[in-house]
Amino acid sequence: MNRDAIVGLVCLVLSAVLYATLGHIEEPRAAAFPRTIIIAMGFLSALMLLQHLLFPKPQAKQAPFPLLRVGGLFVIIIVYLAMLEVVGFYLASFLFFMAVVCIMGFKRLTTKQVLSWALGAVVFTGVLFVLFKVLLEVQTPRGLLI
Amino acid sequence: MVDFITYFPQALTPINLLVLVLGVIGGLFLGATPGLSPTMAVALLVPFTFHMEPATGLVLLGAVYTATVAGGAISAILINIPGAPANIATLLDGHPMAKQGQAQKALYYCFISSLVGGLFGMAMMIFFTPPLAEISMEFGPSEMFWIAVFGISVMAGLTSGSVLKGLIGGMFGLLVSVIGYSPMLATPRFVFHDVLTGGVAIVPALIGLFAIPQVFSLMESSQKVASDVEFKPQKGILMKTIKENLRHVKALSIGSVVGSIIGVIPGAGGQVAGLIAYDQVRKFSKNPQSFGTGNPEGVAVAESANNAMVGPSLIPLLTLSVPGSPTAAVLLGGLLIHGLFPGPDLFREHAAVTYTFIASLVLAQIAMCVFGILMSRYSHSVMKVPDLEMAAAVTVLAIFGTYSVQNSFDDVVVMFALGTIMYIGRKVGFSAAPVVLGIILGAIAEDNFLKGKLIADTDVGVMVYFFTGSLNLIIIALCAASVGYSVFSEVRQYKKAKARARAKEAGS
Repeated sequence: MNRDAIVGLVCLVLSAVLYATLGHIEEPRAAAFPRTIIIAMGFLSALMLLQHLLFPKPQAKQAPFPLLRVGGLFVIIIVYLAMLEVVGFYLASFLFFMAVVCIMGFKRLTTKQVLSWALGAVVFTGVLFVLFKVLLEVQTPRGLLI
Repeated sequence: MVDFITYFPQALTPINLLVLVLGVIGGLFLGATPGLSPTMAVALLVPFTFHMEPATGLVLLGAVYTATVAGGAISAILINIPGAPANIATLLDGHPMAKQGQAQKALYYCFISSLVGGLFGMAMMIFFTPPLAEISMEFGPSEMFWIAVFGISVMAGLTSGSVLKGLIGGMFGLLVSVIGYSPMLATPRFVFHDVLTGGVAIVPALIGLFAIPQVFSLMESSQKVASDVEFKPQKGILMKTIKENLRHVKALSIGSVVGSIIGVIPGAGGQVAGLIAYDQVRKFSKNPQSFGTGNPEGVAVAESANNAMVGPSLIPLLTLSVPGSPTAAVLLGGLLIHGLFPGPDLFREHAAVTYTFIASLVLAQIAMCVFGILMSRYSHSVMKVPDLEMAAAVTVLAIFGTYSVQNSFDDVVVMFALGTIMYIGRKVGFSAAPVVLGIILGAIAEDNFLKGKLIADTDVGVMVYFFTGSLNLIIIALCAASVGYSVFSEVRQYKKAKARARAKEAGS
């Protein structure tokens, strides 16, 4: 089974699961629109599955997925989100910026480079702070600090 | 028209011109920031107008509105993240152009086309306000439902690869739009977690679907510079681009007309104007396959459409006190704090303020083009930001833009979750544009269908209500033509591909 056929199958299963959850909607009129969409999505997914099962197209080989880099960034973002309401947006953003450049760019770590990144992070979050917090008074997640 | 000419000089006073220029420059920057939509930008600046003369305050708000709509294209073209929903269509060809080393040309196309569309929209507003106001009031729930269906029919054309994937992506977007409480019946749907109680707002979804996959993609490559975009400033390219751009008469005309029509319809939302116009130009192009791969015509139609809706979108507000869009609702607040009540009296008793505002919108279109082009000359600095810093900065801006929409951390969580799903979707060939279109149109379609059904049940019945009336029939015919042409063009392309394969086989 080629990749697009698997995608079609996954979408079909997702449609079936979502259709099953429609039973939990108390008011039948509120379920009418989602039901129509789910049926349409299931039909299109079945078409896609059939299309790629009956007329499979040769697929190009893909480069290996850089799981460590992408997964690493994913984890850093999760930690950043968790910190936002604890230490506040601006400080958390500075720390996030430094974490991304230092952890993901550890091969380039030198004192000069770290200082340059820190300066960039200070300028970036500083501009955001002055423009949006001081001048435009935009609300951001508040924590212990700013 | 006479009043417009009479009061035009008032827009040219030094203070009004200064405010206009500052508003345009600020609007371009705000527009280029992902998440800071025109509505948000205008809302942020309303408090600054408290201590200004009414006309000057409105000049500022009008200039910011005009410039943010165009400014959103800068980030769409350079980093593949639309500044606002109205700029989704721009990135379909704008970013591929930038990837081919034509970022400067794409930005010039964007601002010149925005000027053409914007001036067309303003002309419609100045010359045809009374009839357009009447047309806008013709749109009831049934017409709005069919407009949404027409928008949905565009989905298939928004993926350069598989039509089926475009449609499935669109259906997914429609499903996302129903998460939360039913707008008419207050029944919870698909609320699997507390963060979904409020549903999925458009701007957080837009940011997540475009920005987060882009951030993860930046991490995939080991290249040092942020994007694979090269920005090559070239001498003499401005005049060449102006001439070339103005030759795309069909794209500019369709964009301007569709943008003006969609703009005047209350609730339709300017964000779909660019996508609908883009789809029409692509369908009637001799070379539809070139769209989505860096065709300048795609940028021209998208930008002319989204700026053409600026003027007409204010017609229902100024003439009938009906804010037809979220931005118009914020502008209504700007009018009210100065004691100006929209409606016919606005044009009679406060003619000086009203026409100065309208004149400033015309001037803002010109200023937007001039400063946009000037900014384009220096935008290349964005391209020089290394990948790590760019990924970090875009993530911070995405979270900032999402949170600031309604000061909700739940929105940030939803944005990141949707972005992660879209990243996986992109890996298997799905595009973000149909998903966003689904999210935008789902609420319009369902809300208006239920409203229409309520009216129909007490009156003529659903079939008669939704399938009669000249406006309904025109939009239904447009839907049928749009779907019919998509199928026809798909079959034609399939036959061509088959013939080419046969010829290749015979040749070998």
